[in-house]
Amino acid sequence: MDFCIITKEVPVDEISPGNDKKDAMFPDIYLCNKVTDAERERSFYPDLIFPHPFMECEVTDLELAAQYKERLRQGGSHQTMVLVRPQTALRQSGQGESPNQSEQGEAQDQSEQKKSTKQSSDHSLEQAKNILAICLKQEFSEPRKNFSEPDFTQLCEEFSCSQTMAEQLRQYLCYGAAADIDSCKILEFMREEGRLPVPNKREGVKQLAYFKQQLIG
Amino acid sequence: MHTLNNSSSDKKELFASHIYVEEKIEAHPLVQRIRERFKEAEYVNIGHYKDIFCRQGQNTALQEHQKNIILARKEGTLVYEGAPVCQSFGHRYFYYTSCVMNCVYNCEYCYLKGMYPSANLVIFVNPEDIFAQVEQILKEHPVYLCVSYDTDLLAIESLTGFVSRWIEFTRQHPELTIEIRTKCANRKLFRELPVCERVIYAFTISPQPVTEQFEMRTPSMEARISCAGYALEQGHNVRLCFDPMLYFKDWREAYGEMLKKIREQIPDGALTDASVGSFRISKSYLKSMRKRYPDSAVIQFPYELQNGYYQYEPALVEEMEGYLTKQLQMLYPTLSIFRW
Ligand code: SF4
Repeated sequence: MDFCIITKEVPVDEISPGNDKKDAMFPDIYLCNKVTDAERERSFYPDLIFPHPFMECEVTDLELAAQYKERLRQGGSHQTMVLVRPQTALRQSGQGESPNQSEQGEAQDQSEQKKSTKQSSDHSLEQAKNILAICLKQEFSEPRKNFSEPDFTQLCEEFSCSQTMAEQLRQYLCYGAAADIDSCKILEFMREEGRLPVPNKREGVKQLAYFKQQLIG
Repeated sequence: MHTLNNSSSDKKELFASHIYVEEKIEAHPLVQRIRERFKEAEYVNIGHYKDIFCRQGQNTALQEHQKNIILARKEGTLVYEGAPVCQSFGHRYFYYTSCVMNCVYNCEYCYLKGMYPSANLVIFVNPEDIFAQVEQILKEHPVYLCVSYDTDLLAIESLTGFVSRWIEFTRQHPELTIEIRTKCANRKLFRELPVCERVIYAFTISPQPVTEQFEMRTPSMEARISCAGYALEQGHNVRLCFDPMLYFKDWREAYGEMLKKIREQIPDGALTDASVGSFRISKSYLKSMRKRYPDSAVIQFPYELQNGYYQYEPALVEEMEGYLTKQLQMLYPTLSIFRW
């Protein structure tokens, strides 16, 4: 699946929380539903199309908006944006720590604190990505039959394909795969019956029609 | 998260976890009504619906699983001339319009999948502007208008109330006839909606194997037939649409069985008319659908390209449509049948 997650730490005062999930399982992780490029006065809306256990927010952030636009420009990706409140911000807002952690925090020197904050954010991001991957898998994975794929170039030679015939052949194979039909088996029969390979294009057209007939039944 | 559809005969509930609202219509009564209905949804303010609906690179196959709703105001041209692939039922002035883009149902073969860049539902809150444009056209000539083409309006009637408003408008305009196409089987609606002789409910009926395999979230064949019969009993005009007919291994038996079931519940002389048409779709739509849905057999089927439209090969079209038409004529000798 073509799926991409943009992640960033964003200070708490730049996030406008959307839903009020007081009992949110992950109070430091947000999924962004709107990112605004304030300079160009444009907003973008990352995809949110499956149930998830996170809180949501809007954010105004040039860098994120630019990243998002760039991903769109590259095309094809399903975009989800995960934002994490840095641990420092969490401390200020009195969340995400146990009393014990707080006491330890006072004893730590500054660089150690930075390191642990970074680790903690990385951990949150990792956790968010894993959970999103699970949500996606549960929602959208569908079993597919696993037929072996025929060698297309070789097949074109066997059917003596022109450009147009090759396009037709490709579509027949796509249909076979989508309809759970074992194209290789049909082709193998055609070889056994002496239908393939064909001696010339004219015969190729005939056999291609035969192959289609076998596929669509 | 809430269910969009009240019909008990719908197979799967549809959830809308996110509702995007154009800032300029935030205070609109319909927006307020929808907010009441979807209290737990996440609301996101947007500038223009196209910012989200027309965004490039959307994964519509994923969106189909959980459609979100966009509430917007429709602007510009709101009423269009009927497309050449659509049946005009002999009407000279044939138009269509859409107060909603996309559908709560999810038919695998639906052309909307090739027409729109998103699977999310856009509800335009201002049908009154469409009414005004229809009134302009009515000044010139009578109008036959399909109001439920790019969606299924009846399936979301409890949410929008648009069908009631269309009926009210049609009753006030004697030169207007409207068609409401549907796969919905909510009998309650036909008890409650006022009867108007210029409103035609066009039920699309498909054999049960087609419904099960290709028409996700729609009511069963039986439920649709029974609802069509009920609508007739309540005095409404009913058209049956066997369109699109799909080809599959036992199509003949399945379509024959379907007609038998219909005849058991609907007598000859009761229907307004019927239409028969095998699957067809414009080249550009199918091209885009094939890219987006590589695993769909109905989309990947090797159709033939004829005059810019993909369809079954002519002999098969003749065989399928000919068979259904003949069977219909036998069961309903007085019925007007329109073939695509
Ligand atoms: S009911 Fe009609 S509009 Fe809705 S998905 Fe099916 S074919 Fe498309």
